[in-house]
Amino acid sequence: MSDSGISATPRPAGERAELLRIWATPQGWRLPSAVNNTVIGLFYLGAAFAFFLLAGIVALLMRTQLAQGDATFLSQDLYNQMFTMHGTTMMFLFAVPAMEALGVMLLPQMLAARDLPFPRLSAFAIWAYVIGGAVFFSTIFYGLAPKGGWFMYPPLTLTAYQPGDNADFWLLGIGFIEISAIAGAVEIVVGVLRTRPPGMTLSRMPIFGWSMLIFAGMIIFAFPAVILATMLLEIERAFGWPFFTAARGGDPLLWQHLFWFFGHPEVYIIFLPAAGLVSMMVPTFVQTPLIGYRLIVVALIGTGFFSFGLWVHHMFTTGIPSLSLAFFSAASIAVAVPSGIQVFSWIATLAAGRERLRLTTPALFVLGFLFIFTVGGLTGIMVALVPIDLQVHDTYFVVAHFHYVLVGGMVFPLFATFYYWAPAFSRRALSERLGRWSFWLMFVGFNVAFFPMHLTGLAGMPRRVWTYPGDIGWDGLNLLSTIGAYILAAGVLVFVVDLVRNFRPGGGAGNVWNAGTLEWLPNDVYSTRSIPLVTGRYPLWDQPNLARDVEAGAHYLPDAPTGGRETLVTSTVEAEPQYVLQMPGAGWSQVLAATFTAAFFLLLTIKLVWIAAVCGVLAVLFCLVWAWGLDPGPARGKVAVGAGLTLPSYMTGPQSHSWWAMVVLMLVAASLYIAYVFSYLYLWTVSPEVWAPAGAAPLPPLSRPLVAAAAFLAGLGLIVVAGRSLPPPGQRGWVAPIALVVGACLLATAVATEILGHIEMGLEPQATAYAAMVFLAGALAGQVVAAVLVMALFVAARILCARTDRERRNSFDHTLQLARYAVGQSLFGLLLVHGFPRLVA
Amino acid sequence: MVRGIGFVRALLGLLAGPSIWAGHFGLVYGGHAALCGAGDRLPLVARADLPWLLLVATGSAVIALLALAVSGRLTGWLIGTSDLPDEADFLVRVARLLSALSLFGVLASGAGMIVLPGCQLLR
Amino acid sequence: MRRRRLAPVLCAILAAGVAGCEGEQSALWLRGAEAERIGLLFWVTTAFLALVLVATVVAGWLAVRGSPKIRSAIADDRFVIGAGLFFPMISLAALLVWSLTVMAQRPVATDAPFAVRVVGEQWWWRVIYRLPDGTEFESANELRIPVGRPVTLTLESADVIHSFWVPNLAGKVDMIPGRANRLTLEALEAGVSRGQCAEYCGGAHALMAFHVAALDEGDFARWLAAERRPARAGDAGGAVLFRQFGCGACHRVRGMPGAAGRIGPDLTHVGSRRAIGAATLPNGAEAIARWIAENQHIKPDNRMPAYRILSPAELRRLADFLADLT
Repeated sequence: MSDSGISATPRPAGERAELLRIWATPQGWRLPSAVNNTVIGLFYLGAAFAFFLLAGIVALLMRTQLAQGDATFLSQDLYNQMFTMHGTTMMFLFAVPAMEALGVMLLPQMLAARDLPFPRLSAFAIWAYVIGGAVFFSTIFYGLAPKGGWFMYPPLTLTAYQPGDNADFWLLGIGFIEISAIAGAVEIVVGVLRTRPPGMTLSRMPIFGWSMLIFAGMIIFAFPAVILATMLLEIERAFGWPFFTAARGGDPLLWQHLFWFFGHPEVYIIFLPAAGLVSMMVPTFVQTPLIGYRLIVVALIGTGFFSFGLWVHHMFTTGIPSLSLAFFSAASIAVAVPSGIQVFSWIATLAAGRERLRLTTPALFVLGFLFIFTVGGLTGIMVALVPIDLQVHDTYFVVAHFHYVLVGGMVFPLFATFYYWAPAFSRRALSERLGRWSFWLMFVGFNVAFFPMHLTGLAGMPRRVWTYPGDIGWDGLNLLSTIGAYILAAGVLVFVVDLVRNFRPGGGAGNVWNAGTLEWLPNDVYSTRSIPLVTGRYPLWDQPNLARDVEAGAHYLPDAPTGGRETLVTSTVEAEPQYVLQMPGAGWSQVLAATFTAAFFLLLTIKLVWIAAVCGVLAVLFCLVWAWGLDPGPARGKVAVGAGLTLPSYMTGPQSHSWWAMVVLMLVAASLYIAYVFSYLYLWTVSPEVWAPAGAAPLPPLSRPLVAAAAFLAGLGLIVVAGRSLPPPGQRGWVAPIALVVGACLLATAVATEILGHIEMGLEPQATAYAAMVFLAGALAGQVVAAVLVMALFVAARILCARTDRERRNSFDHTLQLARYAVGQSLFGLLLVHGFPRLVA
Repeated sequence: MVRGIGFVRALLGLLAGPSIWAGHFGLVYGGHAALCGAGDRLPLVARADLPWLLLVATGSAVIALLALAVSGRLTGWLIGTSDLPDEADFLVRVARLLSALSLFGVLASGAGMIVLPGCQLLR
Repeated sequence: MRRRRLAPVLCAILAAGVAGCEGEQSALWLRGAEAERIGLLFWVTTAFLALVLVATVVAGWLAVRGSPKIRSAIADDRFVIGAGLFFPMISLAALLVWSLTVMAQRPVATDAPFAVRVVGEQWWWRVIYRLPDGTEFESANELRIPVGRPVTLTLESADVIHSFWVPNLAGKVDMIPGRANRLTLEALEAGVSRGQCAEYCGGAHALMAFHVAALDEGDFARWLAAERRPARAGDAGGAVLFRQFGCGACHRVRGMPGAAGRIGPDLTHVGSRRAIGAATLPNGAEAIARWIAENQHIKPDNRMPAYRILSPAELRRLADFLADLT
């Protein structure tokens, strides 16, 4: 008997060989087709780190320019492109992807899952990001880089002031990170909630799991705001719909609201996973469980919420009434409390240690993080107070503040992570000697570079200036900052040398830190030999024989009962085993879909519309090819998963993992729509004079929206009927596919009816912000309905090929889920567009 | 089979406090911005109603959060029970602490209403 | 005033040896009413937070290196709740309420003898004074106000978002197309402060600065009387060059025929200003000549073409004429 109550009868020979064969990573030129989380996670992290180095080099060039007043090392135009690229790259191409990459690499290992629940989705996101990001960054080399700042405020970024393609490249770059972030959120929510090992209840989950869950939740609600914002900006740039033009009823501040509703949570989206990693490392350093686990969970959730009440904190100087500012100041103050909880929990854990902290390289980076992040948090309190912010906003004080928060809160933990987890992914650990050099250079360099910036800012130096007068007294501080920047860069360089000399992917060097969590179990390409039954927060400490038993195959899924890649799905709270998830392996369809998605956006940016359209169609096509092989059906029946347990190998309805993924996707769509409703109402408060009926073409008669609503409901009804008439297993049917496609077409007709109604009344989207908003409602409905239509055609084809039926029905169910959402959103849209103007008239 | 806590109940219970904070925040900021921006063009309410609206919203949020933070039974009822008592206990404790934290957030927002007047810019 | 003596001392402690506290663009040289209100809050907050930082570092050090007794006291949920939850809640609430009362100290109603509109344009400042009798006159890149009298500015934008910031006097306020923001400036002592655009506004954002001169009552009245008068007729030859090269198409010189342009800065009394090019070059005939010929080099992308076609003598004469417009 092992300590977890699972008997260790010897497993049949050949099981391990079978697992190795099934989970083998494609070699050579086939490597890009791989989907194993450790492999693509490494690509992801490598790409993110490469962008960190590139954006860092850009920063060094800027610091060189600023070392003295009146310098001419860089031109004004190049500098403006550089600071835009530095911010955009660091935030969008480095910080968020790096955190997602760690989620992809570490989460399944910590949960002892064989892979993330949707392996090809991660791969798709990564390839779209790598291709798109590389092209986006390269624009700096031929002077096409955006120069509107990473925040891209209109009207500066409208065609009137930036006619070239530069701003479009920014919108493009952001498009890729939107795709990969949302794909990541889907993976992580489902992965954390459904693929934990048996026994790992929510209260036993590693803190990194909690922080990634909240990270994903925040992406679901924050990213849609910036997706909408970028849509509005691109539509205004391309077609002249005046969302941001004050003269036609738009408002530049709408962009700021949307951008910062995303932008401030974004800071915490970056910080929370890093904090989670620190909560994983500190207990290992001192060989003791985390003090205040529960408080840290509270802090993470609290931060996630409060961070959505901070966005106007970037707009304190825009002339919003004082009381509104006070609400945001209050939330900015409140968000400091959870950070305090975490800092003191870590300190308490350090004090609780059975042994005193040994200053290894990861420990040094964590201590460096604690100091730098605390300084950044405290200056954060200063900028949260409105009066102080009125002075320091948009100065170097703020530059210092957020570098302390972001470099302290994210980069230092990331380097600690590199040194701490490298032995889990590399045959050799990184060098302690080089690590120390790297730490001290980075720590000293960072403080020398950024501490003086507080003073430079107080001395009056604004941000985003390519030069300053030599006689104004800012030279000394700036020179110091430049020297610090080079020292910091030297530290990073030492790390790169260490990486090149010592990092050898594969195998892993074993549990070198004597850590207590599952990622340190012996593992191979298939992850752990068997999926353990967990009884505590630190299984490797609580269950002394766990590693041996797991390796002997004594726990769950020691073999591959369905003959392919699979992992265990458990219940959300108590982690009770539910079913075996069959997942796809290596393949090219997601790589091609990603490539054509990237090509579509890139070609659109340089206005090659027709080739772009072809690529877009190809991208959708390859997504369908990829989806064709999914939804395996119940053919394999129930399978034995070891330890005397038998589970189904297929699941439909609300228990299935893909149902959850659809719910996440619908939450994203709903957040996007809420951001739209906010924008509509907001613009009305700013310029009611352009609203119908007084300020615009009259609304269509009420019969029009009623007809549209009837068509929406009839379409949905037909799709429901299709569900009732799905053929029995293994057979084909004609009723269901026809009802499905006709139903989806009815939805499309309803959207067209609504849009045409406004066109007939003479409303033109270019005329006013009101008109633009009305047509946008139609466009947003059309977007979801188009997705329903594609899915309906796809499922109809599956039914005709006997791949979808009454029992094997996930593909259909998800189409119905989306159709329900589409109809709900569209009906609400009709109510808003036709009801609101009549209500306030 | 373990009889467990449903995910929706757990989510509801855990996030009750923070959601009340979020609802309150959206209401007072949204209400304030709408009334100050749209003046008296809104149906049903007028700018003069602002102090009352803010007071009622804040008062009810404070009462609800106090109840959630203080009463383990109320929160326990929201979350439900599990065959693993430690699990329910953990979730209830986290939920109550979150309600307490949210209470701080609501009170901090409320401070502005006492000190600052309605719609002025004060610059 | 007590506070105003305290601040420089604190400043010297914090930033020993660093120029900046007394700088004409420093946010720590408290020469305006709003700047002063903010300054006190700033210093007290800074001092308090510095103490918190020291305490946190000490706690961290004790957690690692302290005696077993101290370590076991720290290694406790109660320590986390006390230091990480209750202490921040109480102290931050106090800071928040104080900062709100600072916001509530609204500027006194203005009784200034004029109203001012400042319009941000890429990349300079149009300044429009309006007297009680309704007369308006324009200046650029320089604002003059009387000491001790609150002056309310209306801040607008002609193109993109800018931000009006004179750190010595007050915090910043953005200038946003379609909106008119307000800011009340009250200078507490006579002297010149430098301001700069604080919101990135494209190309030459770095070179969009201005000066605010606070004048004593008498000096201000004399300046106002002079400023509202049209330009005096100067060197006729210079005026001919001004017209010949089309300067008047963009620049106005009040009282001079053929010089009614509205695109660029009003040059009626350009010679009396401290600087040209939106506080990019110190004023003077030589600087003006350089500006006319090389402005695209001095301030890239600005809307004025570089006039390299003037002969050195012509350039000199035109610059002298402009520098004479006082």
